[in-house]
Amino acid sequence: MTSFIDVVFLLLIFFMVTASFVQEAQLSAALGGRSATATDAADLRPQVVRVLPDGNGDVVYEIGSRTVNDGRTLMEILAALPTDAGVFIRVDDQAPVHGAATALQAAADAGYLKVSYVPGR
Amino acid sequence: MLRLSMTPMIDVVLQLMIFFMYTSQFVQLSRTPVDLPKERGDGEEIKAEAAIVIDLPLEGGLVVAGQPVNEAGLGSLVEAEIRRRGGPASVDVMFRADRTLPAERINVLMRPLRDLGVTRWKLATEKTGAEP
Repeated sequence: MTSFIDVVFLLLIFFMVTASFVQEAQLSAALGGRSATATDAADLRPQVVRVLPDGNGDVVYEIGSRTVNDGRTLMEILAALPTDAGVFIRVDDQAPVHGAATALQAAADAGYLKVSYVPGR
Repeated sequence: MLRLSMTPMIDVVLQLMIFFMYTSQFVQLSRTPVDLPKERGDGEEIKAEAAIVIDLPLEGGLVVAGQPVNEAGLGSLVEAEIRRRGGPASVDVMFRADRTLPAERINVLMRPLRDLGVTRWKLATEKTGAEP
């Protein structure tokens, strides 16, 4: 019985170890701000998304004249725009971090390769 | 006739598996527990650790490699890393920030990072597995 108990115990530890770790991922962005405007008139203008607090602990996303409050709609809007020039994500100081993450995720899902984060006020 | 017992071999193999799983997770174990934003990430595998991983827990403060640091200390760490890697272009920073924190906590750190020439950064998320 001893060997059997050994093996069962080890299997138990094995599955406990594999189950206990949170899978982390990452959202990459460039750190923008100083070069946040196109210097050449011929340059394609990047999209600009503003992440703002809505006053209830959540966020709203402004893109052009549109204001949306969920990541999926933001992603659909961004996907319909030209992606070549990239996107600037300007995050207000009072917006929660998860709002910034949602905007970065929407940009990544919409196919933008050049994503710049701009620390906002 | 010699009878080969499989049990010790299975024991050893399992022990080795557990050993390597633990050692490969040591980096994560040394991190501060943080309630990360729930996003799938950009699909890039975390192949190599960022040069500097900054934990921003809900309780406040900055934690780098398990040690609390202040903003001046962080600046020194980044400068040292820039020197070690031969320039700011080789340095990337990962923020592990509590999802409910105001973005100001990240923004105030990014401004001096930008002044030091660091342009690459990552935001850690917790994989949810949900499709877009």
